[in-house]
Amino acid sequence: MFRTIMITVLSLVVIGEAGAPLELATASPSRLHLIEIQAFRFMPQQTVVAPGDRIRWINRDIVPHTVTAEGGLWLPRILAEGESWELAVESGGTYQYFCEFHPHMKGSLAAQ
Amino acid sequence: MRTITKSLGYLTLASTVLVGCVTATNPAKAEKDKGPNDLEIAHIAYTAGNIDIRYAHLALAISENPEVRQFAELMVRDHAAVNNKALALVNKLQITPQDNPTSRQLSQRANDIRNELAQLRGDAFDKRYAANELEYHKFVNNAVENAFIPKAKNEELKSLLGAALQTFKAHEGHASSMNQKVS
Repeated sequence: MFRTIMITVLSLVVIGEAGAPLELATASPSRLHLIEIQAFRFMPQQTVVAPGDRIRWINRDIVPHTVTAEGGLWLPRILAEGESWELAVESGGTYQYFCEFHPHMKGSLAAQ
Repeated sequence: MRTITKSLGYLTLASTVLVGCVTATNPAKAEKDKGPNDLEIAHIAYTAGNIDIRYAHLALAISENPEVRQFAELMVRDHAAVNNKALALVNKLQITPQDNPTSRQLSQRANDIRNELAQLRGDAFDKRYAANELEYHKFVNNAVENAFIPKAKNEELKSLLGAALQTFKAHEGHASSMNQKVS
């Protein structure tokens, strides 16, 4: 089931500023979902997305975290403070991810 | 008995750090016991982080236990990040952290523990390292939460201490889990 979700890595970008909006609607039907890593949690912990949407994780903590997929669907990304990473969802499915450095930090994506 | 003795060591240190929270009636004693200033807090916090990094490097040199090694790598990574933030703040504020008796006691006690750890191997090392990490993080978290944050006057330092406390509390939870796995 995990393999049913197809995700494309868009880019690794560094965002130095804080305070990006929680969720950004775009002109196209696809949406950008922001998942903030803050106080050792992925927020929101569960994110519902649609195929074509993009997801951006940004690390607001002062220590590095990773965004690592259970089962290795994408290569783990290490995000230092202020760094972000985006991926695009191409088809439906569910997926679990976590921080390798702090394994109690878990999140999930549901693409429908 | 050994565990009690070790714990008492941190209790003694904690009483030194927290003494400023106690209201003294003697003005001279109150001045002496008013607790660390911002420059001393910065020095103690940086020293405490550095101590845990050194414990971690010792663990990486001695332990073959995956849980212990993973935790040690985490300590190196996270405490280095926090200390780098502290250094950046120090540079920004153009201040010099101030050495103090608490920092010196921390360093002395850490030397003693490192010497003890260095004599151990295998499970004995892993258990002692894990136990010390849990005790150490409890001690540091207590000091940061109940002495440093309330005492800090500079808002940026207070904010950094708050962020550091979140990190160290996560470490305390991780250390507790590590203890269960190596015991």
